Amino acid sequence: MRKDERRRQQRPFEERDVRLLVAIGHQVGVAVQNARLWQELKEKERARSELLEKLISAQEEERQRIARELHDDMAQGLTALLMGLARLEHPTTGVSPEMVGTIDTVKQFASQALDDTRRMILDLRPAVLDDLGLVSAVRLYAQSHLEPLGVAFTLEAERMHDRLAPHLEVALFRILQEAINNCARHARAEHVRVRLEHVDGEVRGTVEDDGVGFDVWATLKGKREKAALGLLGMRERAALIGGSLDIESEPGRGTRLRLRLPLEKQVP
Amino acid sequence: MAKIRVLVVEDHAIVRQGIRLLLDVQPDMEVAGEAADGREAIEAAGRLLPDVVVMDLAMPGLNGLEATRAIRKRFPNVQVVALTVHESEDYFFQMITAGAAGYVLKGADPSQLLEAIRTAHQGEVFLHPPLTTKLVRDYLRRVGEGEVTESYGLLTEREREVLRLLAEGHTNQEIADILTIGPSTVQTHRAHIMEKLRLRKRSELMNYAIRQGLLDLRP
Ligand SMILES: Nc1ncnc2c1ncn2[C@@H]1O[C@H](COP(=O)(O)OP(=O)(O)O)[C@@H](O)[C@H]1O
Ligand SMILES: [Mg+2]
Repeated sequence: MRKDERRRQQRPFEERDVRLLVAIGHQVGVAVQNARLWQELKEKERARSELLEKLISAQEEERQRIARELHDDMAQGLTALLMGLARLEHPTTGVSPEMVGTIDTVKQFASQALDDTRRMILDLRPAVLDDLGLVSAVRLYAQSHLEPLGVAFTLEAERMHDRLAPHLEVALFRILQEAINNCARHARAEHVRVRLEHVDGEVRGTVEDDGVGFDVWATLKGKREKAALGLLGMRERAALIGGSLDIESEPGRGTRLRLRLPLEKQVP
Repeated sequence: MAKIRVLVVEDHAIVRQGIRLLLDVQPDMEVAGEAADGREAIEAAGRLLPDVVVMDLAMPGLNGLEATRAIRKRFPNVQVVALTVHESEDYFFQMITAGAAGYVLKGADPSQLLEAIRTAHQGEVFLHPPLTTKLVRDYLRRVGEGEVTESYGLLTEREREVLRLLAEGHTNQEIADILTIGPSTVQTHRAHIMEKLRLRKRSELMNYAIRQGLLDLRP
């Protein structure tokens, strides 16, 4: 046996062996190349996610800052203005009756401006999200955006008493905000139902409407003139925090969005 | 008649000035003092014992909610009216459960703040009108879902109807018309409701209805 081995080792390469080795070498080369490309791709994907995360958190900070300024400067200034106008109106200031009408109109301007400011704050970054949490913020957002359109809205929340990590609350809120906006802008629904629950170690969110629905596949695959940035953005944001988003819809059948976020895997 | 003494609690100086401008011309009110955060508010409430505190919600340090809770607990005769940018009904529910007797939005006509101060001074509750609607709606939903508690279960179907109408602000005569019964029958139902729920005044009835709508509703 040892003899055999030695003889085999000493046998010179034949033409056939060389061809085989060259072929194997090619295969190995391709495999290595593939592995390297795969590695690069993964590297790029990771870099992309990281960049996206940075962009998102920079954007959130900026939004929070602007919302705070609107609240602290704009809204308070307008409040003081309203109070001052109400004082002018008072009979003891000797104001003429025709002035009272003008003052009242100006008061309404200030009121309107304050309402607009409130709406801007709500879209940018509602204080209620930071103060009271996701459920309260979603309730306020949906009420203010759906009820004026005459869309009935219900919110069910189960075992959502405990607050989540701030970055998760913000991400979930942004996803639900987009879903609610879509209901308001596209669905022509009579009723929108939002459900949030904490079950089996995950947060699950559902946004359902009984509106016109749409072709999900065609919309996501960009068969239409305009990319579905809202829907894709929601997916992306869910993925970034380790969650997933499922979109079910058909023309004429309403739309249902299902969001899942496992909590155990979250780094605190 | 003695003036209603008001303590103004607000972290933005410009709003404190605005409120002063407004209250200074009211013949029945005077600004007893000012505070710029929750801690100062509790201290000033104890020192000045005002009739009504006008309380901002968002303030650095101790916020309006915590200050309201503390003031209502330590000085039960001091009433609190919330004045805030926050329209969320969740803030509103929290303030009412903390013991506030009023909730007014910045941006609403300032006459609402004046009315809220006067109403709170009478020991009754003033709410930003859209919130009242929400409240009654929520309350009815809970009743509809059978989420009733305590003594509420003692009320008959008719008495609950009367309670709902009372909470909505209807007079005895209006309720009589709506239910097509005599005003004296309404009065009887009313007496039974008050007795079963151990309440004395209409304001307490309103408060009760609010609380029924509130119980377990919020996290
Ligand atoms: N709830 C919905 N009901 C009906 N159509 C919807 C709904 N949500 C999304 N869509 C459809 O999907 C498209 C893509 O949505 P989205 O990516 O959010 O972009 P955008 O809202 O800016 O149009 C919408 O233009 C609309 O046609
Ligand atoms: Mg959209």
